[in-house]
Amino acid sequence: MTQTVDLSQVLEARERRVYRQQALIEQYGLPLVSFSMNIAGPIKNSPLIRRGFLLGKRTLLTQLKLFGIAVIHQEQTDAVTGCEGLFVADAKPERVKRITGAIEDHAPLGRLYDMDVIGADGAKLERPEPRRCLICGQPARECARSRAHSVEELQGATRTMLMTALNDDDAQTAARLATQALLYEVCVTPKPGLVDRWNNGSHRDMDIYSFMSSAAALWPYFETCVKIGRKTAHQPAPQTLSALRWHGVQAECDMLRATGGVNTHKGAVYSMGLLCGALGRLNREQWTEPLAVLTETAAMARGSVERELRGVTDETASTAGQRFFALYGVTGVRGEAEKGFPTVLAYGLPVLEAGLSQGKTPDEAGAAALLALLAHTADTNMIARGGMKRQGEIRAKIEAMLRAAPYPAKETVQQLDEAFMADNLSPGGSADLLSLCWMLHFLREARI
Amino acid sequence: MEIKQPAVAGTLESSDCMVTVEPGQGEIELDLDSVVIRQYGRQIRKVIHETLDRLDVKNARVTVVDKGALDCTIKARVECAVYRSNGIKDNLPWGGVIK
Repeated sequence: MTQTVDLSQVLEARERRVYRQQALIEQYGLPLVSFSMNIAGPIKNSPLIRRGFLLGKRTLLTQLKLFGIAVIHQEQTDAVTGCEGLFVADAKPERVKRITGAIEDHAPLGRLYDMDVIGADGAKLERPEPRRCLICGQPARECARSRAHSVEELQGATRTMLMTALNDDDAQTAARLATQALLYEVCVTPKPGLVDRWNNGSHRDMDIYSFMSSAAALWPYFETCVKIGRKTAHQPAPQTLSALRWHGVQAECDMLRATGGVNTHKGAVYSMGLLCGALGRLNREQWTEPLAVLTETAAMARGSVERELRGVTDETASTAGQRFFALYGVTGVRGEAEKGFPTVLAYGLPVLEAGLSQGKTPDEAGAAALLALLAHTADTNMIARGGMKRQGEIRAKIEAMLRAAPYPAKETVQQLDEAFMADNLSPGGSADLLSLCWMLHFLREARI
Repeated sequence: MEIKQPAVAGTLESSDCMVTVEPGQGEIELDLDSVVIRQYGRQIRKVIHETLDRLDVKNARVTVVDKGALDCTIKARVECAVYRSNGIKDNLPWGGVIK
């Protein structure tokens, strides 16, 4: 996977690249960006280096787009001699150079990027300032020429830089999507008994603003979960859950502080935090596979039902989840997590994604997914408010309703909302599962 | 080796150099431009002359534009330019003749 190259291969690759540059300039008569990675030593490509390159390519393309510069043609090479990209840009070369220069100077991996700009006349534009050595900060070409630093030292510094930047990007991306998932969940309207954009459902102490404050407050927690997952990735999965526990408690504190003491996202702190930890344990490439993500989540939660519920009696139960286990044997969110959230995979996510791809709005697809989850989950919030029997009746009723119409009309959901409010019912557990569905959907859509 | 026709090897990318060889007027005429000429000009000239010597090139006009290449790169680019001048385009015997 990570092959070494010798000098002749490197020199040949460089000549070939310049040959392609000249051919493209001749063909298009426009400036071009030649992007390659600045990697010392005989290993010029690896999964880590490739991801660094892709991050740089994304930065380059989005920045050119932001400044209104059209990329007329692009091509990419992924060889043992390294990753390279050529981008023909329809703009004055000086403008392009200002953008690539800023990326080289300011992006987290900028020091590893070589983004040369070659004008339509074939001349390479020079940087205003010489590049600095990534070890000592002296002009790079002097350190390179004098071999001031050993290859091992340079490789170490490069690897650290890549790992740090890519782990940060992973954690930030996951946290952003997790927060987005919580916000999408609360915004799905109408939803039976839950806070949405129209009403507060069966809740008196919270509204959509409480949820927005809470979701924003949880962003750093989700980032922490991914980082802890990454750090404990080589340990058995349940170790990651143990390492997350204190941060989960603190996240609940942050939630209460943000909402003025209301429990908006307690379930999400657990289940979304767990999922973010699993993302940290996995490679970014696996994030687009819901089964892989949920399997890892399940591995982390392994043993938690046994540990936290077994032996609990009605008298010793300290949480609602423990009481329902003692009374009815319902394992709640811990049981769901341990099984890898099977209703998410079997009902919620397929309904959500099929709906969206059929052109349903997020409201329609989201409500249908919520109802599908509700029909197939022993939702402890429903049990807490309506009792076990009533919860069962409602599930059966909704299941029958979905059999007739898997994507119920807005009016139907609205009637259900009114009925839930009349009975003071709220499917909070299913709402947390809906957030997971949104998250898995966003992960599938997110590009590296 | 004789320099029969003009030939080029290398690029103007950083840590590389571009070497042009042309038929000379009875001697080695070297034109060097380097981003590190103050610190390494003498060393670069030495590497170029040694490489030409080993290839038995006695009569050539050699132009080198250096962007901070290491000695091994300079040597390889000079060799390549000389071989190309002799019509050898593919499978260049890197380090073959010259130890």
